Amino acid sequence: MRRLSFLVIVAALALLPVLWPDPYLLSVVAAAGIMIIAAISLNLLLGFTGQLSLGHAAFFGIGAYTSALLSLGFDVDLGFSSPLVVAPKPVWVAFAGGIVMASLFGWLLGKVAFRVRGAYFVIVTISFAQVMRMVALNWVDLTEGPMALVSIPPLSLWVPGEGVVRLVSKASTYWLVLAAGVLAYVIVANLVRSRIGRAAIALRENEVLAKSIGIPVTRCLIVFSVLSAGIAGAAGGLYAHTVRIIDPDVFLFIYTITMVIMVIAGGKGTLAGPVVGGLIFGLLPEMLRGVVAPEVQWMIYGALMILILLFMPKGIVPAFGGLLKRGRISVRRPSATQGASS
Amino acid sequence: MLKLDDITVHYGATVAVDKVSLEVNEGEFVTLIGSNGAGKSSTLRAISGLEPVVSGTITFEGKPITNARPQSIIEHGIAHCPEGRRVFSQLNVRENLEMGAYCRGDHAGIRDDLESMLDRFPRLRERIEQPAGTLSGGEQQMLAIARALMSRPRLVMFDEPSLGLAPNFVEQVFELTAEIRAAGTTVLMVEQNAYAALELCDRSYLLETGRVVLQGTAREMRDNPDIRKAYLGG
Repeated sequence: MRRLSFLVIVAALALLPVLWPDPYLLSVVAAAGIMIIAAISLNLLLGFTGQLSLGHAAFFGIGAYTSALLSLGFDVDLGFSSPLVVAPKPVWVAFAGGIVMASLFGWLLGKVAFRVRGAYFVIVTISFAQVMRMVALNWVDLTEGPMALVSIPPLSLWVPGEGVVRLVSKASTYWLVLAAGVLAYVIVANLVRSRIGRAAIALRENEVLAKSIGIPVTRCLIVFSVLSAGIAGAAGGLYAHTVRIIDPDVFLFIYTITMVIMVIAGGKGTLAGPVVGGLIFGLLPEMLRGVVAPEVQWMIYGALMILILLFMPKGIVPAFGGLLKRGRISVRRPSATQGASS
Repeated sequence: MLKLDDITVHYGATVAVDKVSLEVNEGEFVTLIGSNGAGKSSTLRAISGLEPVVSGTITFEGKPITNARPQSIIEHGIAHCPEGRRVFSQLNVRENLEMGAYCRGDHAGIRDDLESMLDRFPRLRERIEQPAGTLSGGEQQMLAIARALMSRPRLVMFDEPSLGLAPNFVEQVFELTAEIRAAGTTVLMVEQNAYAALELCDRSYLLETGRVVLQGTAREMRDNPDIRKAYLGG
């Protein structure tokens, strides 16, 4: 039942470009989709392990820059006898490289930051993203700094009968993002339902108890951190190869905040939360654009956020999960567990 | 089986456990009694690797386990049933039990143990898919004990298992600890209720401000005039 409704939703989304081939709509939804993938990755940490990473845009940016640079090729003088020269790589290889690089940083940050928890972890992650932005701004030889990396090649795909197709049309971009989003969702869903996923929920709730029954807390957190960073890196790679221009602003705090809002409004710790929150807060600015003045847009945005948190403090999905009960994709219904825990 | 030699545990600048030595033999039921803040829980936490030991050694079945990681202590065969919030309220009963076997790799064995645990605690079977947070206090304690047994321990440590339970459940929990020992598992229990503890155990240690001040068989302890006065109410 749950699987069926999931497939129906995916199929409906896949048909959108056929039923409603409006390029503007498709590009807006694709852009929101990339943020949703990033939000899904943040939810792994924030929702399932309870660690608030306020530097999540860093992994997004690292994925974007690594993937873009590998596909463009670069040479950079590191101060050794000869400069490091990297020839342009096939786009998918570059894309994979972005994921690997982001995961690596996820591992590194996990190793360092999980020694400090809570507020200190938050500060470490913020600083990390700021440092990354400074590097992207100032290492002009490598990143072109504020001049931005331009003409990044798009991803391409071999389609039977058509040969290799460059994924540049709005519809193909949309499908690409949708496929990546579904993949990210399925990976996260399986991870959360696995043994280590249960362990993460256990340690989020009561770390001392989790430790006392032998859950390897640090290892568990690092697995989540690496996967979370990897998925964020994939989102960044998608951004780089679909927008095809990136500048150091991808590391801006506002992107992290946008992800956090999507996760919290949708319902952290639920699978569908970041998707629902991402659709609302990703599409809202565009939907309001033609209707009201920009200043009013942001007011509506803010008011909506406050209203959601006021009336649905656990987020939209948990609030409606209780009503719809069956067929929902939320893993658990915190509304049912919280009230009775005494 | 378990041997603590002069172990010391600090909480910041405070000494929580001060050169405590004690021994638990295979098949025994040993209790640590004493008032609040005497260092009983800290001793258990030091054994299970949750609190660093500053000096002294802990050995289990001849192997040193001082300052080992909690998961390796469990793999050695020691389970810890801590005080306070005892279950993962957001996980259901089955998941809580499975968490107890986290360090084990034998899936078939885990499934069998889960079944036998549910046979033993029919109330848990009735609530198997319910979030543990919706269980009553007594049921939560049952679940915590069952979860501890899921790691197939040879030594199980209970920290104040009766704390905060309704009187009829207190009785049940104590009976359960006796049953566990009768089934061949060694038990080390921390209990403030000295009267009940001395009824159940073979031997006991009295802790005061982090030190062992008295030890003996349950009978010796019950008959000791100081203990009668301070802990058994005359």
